[in-house]
Amino acid sequence: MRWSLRWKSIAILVGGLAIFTILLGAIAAAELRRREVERARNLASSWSSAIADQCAAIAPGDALKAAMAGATRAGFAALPGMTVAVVDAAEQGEPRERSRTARRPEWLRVLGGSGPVAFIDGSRAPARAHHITPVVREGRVDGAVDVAVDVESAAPTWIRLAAAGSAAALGIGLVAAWRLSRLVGPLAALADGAERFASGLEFTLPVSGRCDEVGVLSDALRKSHEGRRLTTIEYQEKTDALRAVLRNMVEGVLAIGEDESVLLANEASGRMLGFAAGSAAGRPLVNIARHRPLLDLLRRCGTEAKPVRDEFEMAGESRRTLSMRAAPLAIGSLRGIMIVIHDVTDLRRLENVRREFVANVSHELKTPLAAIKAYAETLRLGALEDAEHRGAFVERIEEQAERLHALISDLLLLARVEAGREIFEFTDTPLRPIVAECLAMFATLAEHKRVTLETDTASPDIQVHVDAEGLGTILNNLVDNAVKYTPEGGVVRVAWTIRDGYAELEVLDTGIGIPSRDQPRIFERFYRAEKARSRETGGTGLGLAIVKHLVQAFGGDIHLSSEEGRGSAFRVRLPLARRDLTRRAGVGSLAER
Amino acid sequence: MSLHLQRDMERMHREIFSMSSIVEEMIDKATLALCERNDRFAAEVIESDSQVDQREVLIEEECLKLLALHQPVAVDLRRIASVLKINNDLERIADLAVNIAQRASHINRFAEFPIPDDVPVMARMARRMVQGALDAFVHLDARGARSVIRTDRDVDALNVEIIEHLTQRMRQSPSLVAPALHCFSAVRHIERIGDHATNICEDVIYLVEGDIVRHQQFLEPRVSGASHEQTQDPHH
Repeated sequence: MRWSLRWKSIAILVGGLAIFTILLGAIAAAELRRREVERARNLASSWSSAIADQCAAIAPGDALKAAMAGATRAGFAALPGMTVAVVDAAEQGEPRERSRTARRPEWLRVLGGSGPVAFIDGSRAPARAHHITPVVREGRVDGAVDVAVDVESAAPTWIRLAAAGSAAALGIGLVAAWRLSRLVGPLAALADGAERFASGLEFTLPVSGRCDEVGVLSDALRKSHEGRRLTTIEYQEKTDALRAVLRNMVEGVLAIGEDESVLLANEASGRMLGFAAGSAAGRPLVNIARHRPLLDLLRRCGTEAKPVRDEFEMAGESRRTLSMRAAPLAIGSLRGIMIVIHDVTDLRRLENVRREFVANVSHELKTPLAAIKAYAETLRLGALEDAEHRGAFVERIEEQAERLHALISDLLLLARVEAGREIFEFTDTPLRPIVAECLAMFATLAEHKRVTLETDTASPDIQVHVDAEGLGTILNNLVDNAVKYTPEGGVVRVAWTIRDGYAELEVLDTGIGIPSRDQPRIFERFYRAEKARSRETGGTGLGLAIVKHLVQAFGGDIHLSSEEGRGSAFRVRLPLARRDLTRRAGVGSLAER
Repeated sequence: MSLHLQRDMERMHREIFSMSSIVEEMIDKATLALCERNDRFAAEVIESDSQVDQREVLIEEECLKLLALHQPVAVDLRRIASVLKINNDLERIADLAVNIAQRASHINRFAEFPIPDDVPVMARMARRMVQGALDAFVHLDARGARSVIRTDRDVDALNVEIIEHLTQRMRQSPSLVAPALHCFSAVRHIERIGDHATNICEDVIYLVEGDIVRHQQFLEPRVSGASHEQTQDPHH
């Protein structure tokens, strides 16, 4: 326990007062005793000489004692505490017969002629002051008078003094304690406050406004606390802001210390490298992310002491391509390495797609051109004269030119669709007539292939908010594909309904279907599930890519579900015309009827 | 634990995890080389092997030095023993990855031979087992180690299935016997990788619980309940 300032000062005060009182009492008692002794002495001396004078007046020969006895009893022994003794020298016979008083050496000295003797007899209580005066008659010492006066004890006075002094000391002590507590109280509160402040707890300080040291201290502490609070808040805000920035970064950020332990890792880095970013700090990097290229990069940066870069494909199931840049880090005394990680998977994939597209376009354009060139050359080298066959060659040239034309138109269309929404004229378009028109267009082809083309008459009469021509293109491409890949006797069916606030248009077939491994890529340009067959059927390889881009430009989407050998279903979701938005699936169709 | 021992142990851990990062990458690449017929990856795997061999020797020397210098007891001793054994297993896994890569480059010459669909699945499972085993080692997670050991059964089951499938195919088309045999041994190697992952997990359980679970039928603690685990090892 702390010896508080208050108790310390009270103890010192009371102790000091007590010692002072005792000393004072002792001095006073000594002085009192001295005075008392003086008084007793004086009294004894004056009485003694007075009586001796009286005795001297007594006629010689008379027994002194007898003569004095009456007188003494009558006049002199009236005072309390005083005794008078008279000794006759004539009685000084055999020492054995002397009275006890007369045997005293002082008596003997006086009777022997030494003159008056005064002494204090302390052998009994109370002490007595003796004065022995010789009685001189006719020139010789005839006897002596001894007056003894009690020296009154000073003890009661001393005790009273001490008690009074102690009471005074106690009183003063209490008052002082009360005063001190007023003085020290705020100091104690200040000390408490300072203690809590130092350990970062909430605290209260004694009221300020005092102009003494306590007030100054208290104000200083308050200011310091306020300063610290503001600094802490500022620091916290800055840290929070930084943390939020780091958390929301797409790039992964890793700070690694000299001992290869993680100083800082943001969420993105954890996501990319597969660890929990929250618990990463302080742990060795090898423990949380065992990726060799990462560790290699780290060590390379450590030895070369300059920024290094690397790109690698993450092992494992996700197969992300990560581009990493490591740079030496020096913040104050802190040394380490900072790694920034970009996920470039999509970028690399897009680059690939573009590269493939260019290669594909060149290839697709070259094939018909080569054929045209070959036929033209054949004609020039003599087939022109051959009336029987030249027609067929020219027909082939026309055919290839037609294919080239189709390809270029598709490419242009695709480019236009990709350019954006501006080129479209969005109108509320009734779905049924457009579907009917499309089916009519493919009726001949379907009949030729013995494929049944049908539409769902139960589908509601709705309008969609799209570009009518674009919708025609979508339908034509889907139905064209469906008819193309459906063998004899199959069914191609177009139906639509309202679902979740969208028009859902469905083109179903009972055709050959699309293998599941090809399904994710079927909407890519020039992607063909079965390369040989699709070119045979005369497609450009761009149809579904165009459909997808058109649907996206209209604000809808397209889904494929297909099973190999059982058929495919393309579901296109298109935005409804405003007037149909409030209708729900099924209700509309009932209301129409 | 003395400061020196602690520092040396940390270095030992860093080394073994660095090595495991290489080995894990080798498994991935070997798997890709096999399933995606990528010769480049196969060559890279074969190239990495010498690095792993060097590191294995290095780590073993480090462990022996630790044992001789510090004469550790209790958990430190178990830790060093575990690292020694895991080191061994990792090196064997690396060798198996190299074997798989070699088989893959052989198979790649037979474009007409399709890799059975289950092979990538099995390879992924084995890869996940190795990863899980090392994660259990990092986190001293005996439960994680036990769950990895349990998945070994699935890998074994797939192994049997694939081998049956391959045998059937060899019967059907004798021209594909050569690539099928290569595939057969690659699959066996994948299965062996799973076994080594199991070994690592057993070492982890030993490290954590001080209990040797090898060759035990039941992998759960003999008496269920956490109190038993605690009484078994006063050091953790």
